[in-house]
Amino acid sequence: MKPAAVVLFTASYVSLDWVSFIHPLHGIGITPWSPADGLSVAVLLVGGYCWAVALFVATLVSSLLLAEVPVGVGALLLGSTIIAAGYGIGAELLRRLWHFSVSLTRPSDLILLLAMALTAPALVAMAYVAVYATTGLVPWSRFGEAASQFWIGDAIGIAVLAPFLLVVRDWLQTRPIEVPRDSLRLGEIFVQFASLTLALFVVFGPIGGHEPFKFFYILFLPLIWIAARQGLAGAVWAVLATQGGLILAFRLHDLSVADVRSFQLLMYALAVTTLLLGAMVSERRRALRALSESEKRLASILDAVPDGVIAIDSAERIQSVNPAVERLFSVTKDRLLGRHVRDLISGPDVDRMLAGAAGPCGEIGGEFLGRRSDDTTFPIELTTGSQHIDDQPHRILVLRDIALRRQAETRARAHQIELARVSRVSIAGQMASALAHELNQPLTAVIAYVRGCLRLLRQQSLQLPLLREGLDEAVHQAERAGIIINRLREFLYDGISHQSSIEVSEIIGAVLDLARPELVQNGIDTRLLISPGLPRLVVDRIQIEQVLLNLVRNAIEAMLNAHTRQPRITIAADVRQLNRVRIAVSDVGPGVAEDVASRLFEPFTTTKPQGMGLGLSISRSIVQAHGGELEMTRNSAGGATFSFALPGHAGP
Amino acid sequence: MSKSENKTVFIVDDDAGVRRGLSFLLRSAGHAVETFASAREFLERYDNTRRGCVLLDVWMPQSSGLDLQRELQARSWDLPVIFITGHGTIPTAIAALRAGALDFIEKPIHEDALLGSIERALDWEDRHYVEAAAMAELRKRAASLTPREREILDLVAQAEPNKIIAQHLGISFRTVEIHRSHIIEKLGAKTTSELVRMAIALESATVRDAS
Repeated sequence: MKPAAVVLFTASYVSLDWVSFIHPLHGIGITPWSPADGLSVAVLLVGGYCWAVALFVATLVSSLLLAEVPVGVGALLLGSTIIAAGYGIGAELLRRLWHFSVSLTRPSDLILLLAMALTAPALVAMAYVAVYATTGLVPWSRFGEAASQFWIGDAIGIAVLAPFLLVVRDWLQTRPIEVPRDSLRLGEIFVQFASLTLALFVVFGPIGGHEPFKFFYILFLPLIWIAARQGLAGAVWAVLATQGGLILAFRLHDLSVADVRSFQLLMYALAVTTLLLGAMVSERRRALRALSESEKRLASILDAVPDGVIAIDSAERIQSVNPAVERLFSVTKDRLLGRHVRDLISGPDVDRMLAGAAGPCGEIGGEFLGRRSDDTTFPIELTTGSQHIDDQPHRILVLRDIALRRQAETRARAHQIELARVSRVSIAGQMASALAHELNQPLTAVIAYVRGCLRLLRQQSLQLPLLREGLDEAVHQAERAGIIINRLREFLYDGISHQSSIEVSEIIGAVLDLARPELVQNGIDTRLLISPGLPRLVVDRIQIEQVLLNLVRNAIEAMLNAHTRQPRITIAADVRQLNRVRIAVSDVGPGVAEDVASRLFEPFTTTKPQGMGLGLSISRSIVQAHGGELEMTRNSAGGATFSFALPGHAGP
Repeated sequence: MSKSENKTVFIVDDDAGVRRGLSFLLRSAGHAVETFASAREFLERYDNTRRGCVLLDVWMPQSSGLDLQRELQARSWDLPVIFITGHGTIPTAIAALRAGALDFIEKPIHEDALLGSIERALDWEDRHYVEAAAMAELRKRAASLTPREREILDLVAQAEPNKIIAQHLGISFRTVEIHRSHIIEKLGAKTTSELVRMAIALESATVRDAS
């Protein structure tokens, strides 16, 4: 509260009081129009109760300057106190109790203000007039008349000026100040205020003549027009202008006090109606603007989402699409609307997805095919939900192009397959020496048999039974070599992974064919614990063989590197919960060190001098791709057990 | 072929296919063959008096061929050994040959190499057998020599003339001549040079025994 502001306030208050000092009852400030109190209430609402002091000073100064009769100091002080306290308390109650917004943003703010403009002046008027009645300045017989004039004067003063000041203050505070710029709107405002002037002229001018009451209703027309078009901002100006016009008319016509009071009552009704209408219009504008903004936001979100969104009606015709749909199907919106959705989407499950359970929640469907107008197709993921739009049941379809994801998945799968194959080549390379020996054996035998047969053929007497025996054996040994070659070739296949149903024992047998040379040559005792009646597995057998061979070879190397006495490997297979087949490879080697165990399955973890550290990492991804998990446990008697469980095939 | 009569090729290999195949080939080439699945089986079943050669796989799980070779030497079973291996690495070959192996053949086996090698082994075994028999006879005869005759034989082996021997032993030239005729008679030498050879053979055998 700066002194300059107080001085300015006081000066404004006194000026307003002076301007409106018309028909003062009994020569004191009881006038039919008190705009000064409108100013006071506005200042109190904005600045708070401390301005009540300034108000007290201002009323004091004003009474001293304007009173036409001498007033006692006590009555003067008491009257000013009543006004300052009454409006101070009224404004403060408004601020504190009802979340009043001084910008009058909601209609309820205006209603609260008008209610306060009615009640506070009533109380102030009675107290004020009572003070002067007590001093004898106002006879008690005229108490009712004086109090009601005071009441009406203040009520209309507040109702007209306070909203105006608050709205103008708010308008001035918005940066930049909003001034209507387009000429049409300015023209309208001009016409509106011109018609207001005309109406005033009609009411009080030559037509109204000496019966201005008769035509007062005409003033409603321009005011309602202005309020309806310009909202509260227009209404406050119009009401103030009308009041101004009214006051001017009072002066010109020199109306009686009773007429002025009647006019002021009419004016009050006019002001309240106009202001409330203006507030309603502003509120509605704001609501519409908020709605359209939220619609715009929603629309921009729908425009921005990469997923296609289609709304279809109960006849499955397309009602609306977002731009993503146009992109997905390479076709413009106008060529989509009204078309049957099944022209765009097909799939075995499409009936269920389109009929789908009612409900706003999305139902996630499987994969469908989107069909472009050139008949090319692309994979989509479809989610549907039900909504009522304009009271009509609609289904909302959300389409996601999953071609890219598919490609990425295919690439990842191809990488995994290639990595697994490279790993198999590496394993085979490491086993080359042992496998070469294993191949040399039958080859040596075959050569020996065939050479022997050739010798027999060179002899005079043909020993046919012996020849047959030799050739039989040669074939048998060649087949033995063939098995190893086949196992190796299968193992090194580079084809696309494919799953087949296979016996567990067959997998273990194939792995042992490949691992046996190393097991035998290193004198490793091999034990098999295969439970009878195991369910079959549906797996990529080569990949599972790779995992098992990798585990067996790890066990061999671990035991050889540690020079384990009586090295032994146990391969066990049994059924666990949920028809899962567990395959485990145990050794009696040194086991896995603590520091290695934590990152055992990470790539590039190795304890071997020439190891890449990829074996277990690849093995684990293979097992995981088959719905299992590769695990390591330490054996109580030393050594490690690596195991994995795969879902058993339910069928025979 | 006459040489291989009453001689047997003993095949020791853990791989049944290889064992039987080699056996078939050697039998078709006219050899008598006996097969053993392991070194232990050979040591248990082999009769020391049997003649022939051993075809031995270097690489066997329980005990290696080199181990068996050492064991044969320790038992003084003088069978010639031919090694077979698919892992014909130079260090293994050198170790085998150092230890007295006669030959070293790689799988898959070349027929001529195998048969040639077996021929050589049996020849060697023949020679070794004749020499060993002659030596045994010589030692038996040498055992009948008196200490004085033995002394004189040692000097004969050093190619000393009778006159020097007489001076050395402090006996007459005539006495030396009588001893010498006894020695010749006991050992069955026909000429002086043969006697000298016998004397050298005996001496080197004694040295070998002592070592």
